[in-house]
Amino acid sequence: MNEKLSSLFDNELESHEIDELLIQSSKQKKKNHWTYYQLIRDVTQNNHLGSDNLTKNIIDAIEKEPTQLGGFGRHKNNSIENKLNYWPIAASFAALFVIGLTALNLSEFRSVDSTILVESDIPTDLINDHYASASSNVNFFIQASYNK
Amino acid sequence: MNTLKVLTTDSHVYNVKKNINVEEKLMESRPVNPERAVDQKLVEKAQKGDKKAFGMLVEKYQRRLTRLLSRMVRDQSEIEDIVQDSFIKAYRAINNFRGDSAFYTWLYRIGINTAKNYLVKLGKRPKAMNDVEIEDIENFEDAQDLRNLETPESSMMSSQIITSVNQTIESLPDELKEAISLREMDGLSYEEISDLMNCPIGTVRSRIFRAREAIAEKLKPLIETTNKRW
Repeated sequence: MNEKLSSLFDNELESHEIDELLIQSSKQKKKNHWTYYQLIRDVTQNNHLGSDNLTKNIIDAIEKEPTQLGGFGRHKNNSIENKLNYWPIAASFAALFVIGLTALNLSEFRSVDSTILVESDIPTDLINDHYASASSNVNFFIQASYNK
Repeated sequence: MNTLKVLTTDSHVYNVKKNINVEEKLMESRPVNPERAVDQKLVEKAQKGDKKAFGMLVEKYQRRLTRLLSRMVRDQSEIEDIVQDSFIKAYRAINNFRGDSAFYTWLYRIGINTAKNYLVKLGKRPKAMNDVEIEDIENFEDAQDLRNLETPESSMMSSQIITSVNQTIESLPDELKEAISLREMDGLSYEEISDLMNCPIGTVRSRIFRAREAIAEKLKPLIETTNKRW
């Protein structure tokens, strides 16, 4: 595997080989030689080596970070910004629900004929009497409300 | 397939040649930068949750980023903090990287912004970086400046590493020494090295690998000692 890694380091691997190698490398628990190859290059190209621990510190810090998963843009940290991002969506659904409910309630009192919305505080027995007489005339209901 | 079958209203069928967008044609023929292709693969792996892949990018670009930011910040420990912050920010934003630019260009911009914010917080006026292209910054001869910022311990470790690498290369068999030198110092591709050394590309690959492994064996005790010390 390290020979392929050496070729990858020189950008000399085919695309499908890169995929296979990275899969293999991620399964390996043992550290690969990428670090050494980079160090060798820096020395031979007279690059400043800097602190040996900086790379290690950075990698350790990344290990502690929540894993980034692409495609969903999902972040596991619970920052307030991430929570607030969901509020507009929730608000939209709530608004749609309210509008739908209102439209449904309105449609119960709307008819093709001349039925009108009656007041809600008409005595029940009065309404029942009128239903019993099976009248479709809306004036019964209007009269009932005046006779309260 | 560059033709379309078109059925017209008068029931005639025509084979119509598709006009290939000129830009698409140019993109097809443009050679893909191999380094950028490798970085893109590593980024894609990191975006799928592979932190090791991101670690490889850290190893690859940490020193280059440090060199870049040393143009803005003089204190060694501050530079290291900023470099570490930059990589963490880059990791958190990795899903936003779409490959429109090279990864190192994107990373360097994060580094520069991090350094600027740091300097502003300290009340220091950042150097005018806007007028300087990132590629130009990399070309500055600032290795000597960086060496002046090293601690005695890190300076000693650097010297040991440099000595070990150079001595090991000198002690390699001629064909391995030539292959690794042509690759690292002259930046030749495997194909160019195989032409020069008059051997198959597979042999070049193997020689470079064996040279690196020999040097890595010498470096291991040095690196492992440093890690244990901390």
